[in-house]
Amino acid sequence: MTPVPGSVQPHAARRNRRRTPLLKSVTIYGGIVSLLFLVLFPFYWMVTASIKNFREISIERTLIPREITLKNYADLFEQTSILWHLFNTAWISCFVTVVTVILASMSAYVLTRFVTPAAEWIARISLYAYMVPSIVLIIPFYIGLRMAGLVNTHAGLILSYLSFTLPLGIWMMRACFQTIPKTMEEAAVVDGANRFQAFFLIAMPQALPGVVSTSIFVFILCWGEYLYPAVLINGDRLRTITITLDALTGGGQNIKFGLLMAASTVATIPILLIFLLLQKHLVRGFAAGGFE
Amino acid sequence: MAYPSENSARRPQRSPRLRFRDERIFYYAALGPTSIVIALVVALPIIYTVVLGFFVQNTLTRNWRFTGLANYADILTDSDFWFAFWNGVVFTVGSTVVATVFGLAIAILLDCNFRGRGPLRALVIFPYIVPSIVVAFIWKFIFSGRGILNDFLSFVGAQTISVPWLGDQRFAMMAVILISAWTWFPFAAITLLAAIQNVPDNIYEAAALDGAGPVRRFAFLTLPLLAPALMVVVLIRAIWAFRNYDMIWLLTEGGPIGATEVLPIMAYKEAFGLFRMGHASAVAVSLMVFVTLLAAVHFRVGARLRKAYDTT
Repeated sequence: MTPVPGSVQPHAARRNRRRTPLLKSVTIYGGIVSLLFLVLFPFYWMVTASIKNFREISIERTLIPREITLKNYADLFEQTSILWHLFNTAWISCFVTVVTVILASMSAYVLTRFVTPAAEWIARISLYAYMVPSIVLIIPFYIGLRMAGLVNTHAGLILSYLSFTLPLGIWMMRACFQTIPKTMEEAAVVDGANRFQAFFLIAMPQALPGVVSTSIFVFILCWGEYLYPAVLINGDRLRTITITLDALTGGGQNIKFGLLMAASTVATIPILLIFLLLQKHLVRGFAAGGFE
Repeated sequence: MAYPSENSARRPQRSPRLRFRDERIFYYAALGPTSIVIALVVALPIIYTVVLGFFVQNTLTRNWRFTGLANYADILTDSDFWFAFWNGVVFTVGSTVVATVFGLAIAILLDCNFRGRGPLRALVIFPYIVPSIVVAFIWKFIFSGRGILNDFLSFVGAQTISVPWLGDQRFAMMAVILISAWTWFPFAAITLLAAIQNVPDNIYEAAALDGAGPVRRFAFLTLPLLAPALMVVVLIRAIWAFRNYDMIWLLTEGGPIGATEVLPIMAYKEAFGLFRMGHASAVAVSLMVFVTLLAAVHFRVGARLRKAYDTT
């Protein structure tokens, strides 16, 4: 807590703070250590289990792997077409992200610049749509896509993803355009620009950080989506990564945790990369109230 | 339909009107595709489910038979429905409370000054962005009968027999709540952290000068000032917990013996286990009604808070 310039007697406050430095720092560092443990340990456990052998996973349960083996990964790549599924997931997620960002930024721009009944309805529906239980939508999707011949296709899956990404995208991009002043566009109209130019050349460049945050969140949502592919996709070739993982449990009692943790690690790597590379945008998107 | 810029009556303050030559074209070009997609993938499916709730339909035979309110009569008199509803309430309240309390503690911690605060703030987000199926698997592994949690508990001497936490009727709900709270607390932590940082420091300094200790400062300053943000976090989290499907399904599939069966899972089983689409729709619509009620409270409270605090 840095004292605000001109705040009430910073000296007295500082003295007050110095009185219990030990207790406070012990609490803080205790908190940090527990937080780190709580956040990191599950992932540590996942990664180490993926490189342990069966004995160490199920019987000895060693905290630090004594013997490192890649057998789980070898099994994983041998028993499943996980690379193919990763590719499926990646292209579907990218495609949905691009479509969502294009549609959402255009319509969100309209929602902040035009006030019409239709625009207000879109805003309202998209906020509500994001709260509608996906189980309400999945039944019509299942029946409707089957009638349209789109069940068990990526096209059908992409359509179903748009039902949650588009409302989220509209909501995030709307918040973004609300912070962008209209003055530059007003200047542009004086200079004879048309609305398309004002949108693409003036508003969009300013909205770029919002576009990045929105893309990240949409991509992450698509990457981890489980319900829609579980219902709409069957057959190995079209699977997404979440279904690969789901299929590994086999529904039986003897869950092979080594294999499962290896698959989980693989499924987490892209998310980890996004996290490491685009952290700043992620935190900002979060702060913008984008996520949910 | 009103022309886009004919809103001067509603927004008199926007006097210098922005008028582009192609205003109308842009308006339809930008809003048109989105409207179509939203209608197709959101509005239409909702209507379809509502209508389907009044029919008996079996995906295998494909005939539709109108039954009026019979589906609703069936499910509303079904004790399983109310059991699932109640489970949903327990799950919602439990996971929301744990995630919010924990998130608040983390937010307060992250507001303190220490080295490495920035990376830690970012790190906190991680459990939230990992695919839910991965979260479910990791914790299934940790909570399993021969998992590390049982080892730890017997190591500290808290128990002598190992418990399959997710497979035991007594503990399954508790385990599911804790796991969900683990993956949802970042939302509470980051939102509340932003709210805490909006509170000017000199208020605390003044309180400290007046002799208020940390506990009293927390109870009489932090909490009241955070009340609006807390309210929003709790409501949003509650809506999401109540409609949540995948976390519970992936952890327990609603078991053991229905101990963690909630309405979304019941609807799923009716639809894709028993292929009773009419019943499933009725359950789904009931769920939607409950969620809509929560959402209405959320909007109402949000609007009132905005008015009371006069902030965004």
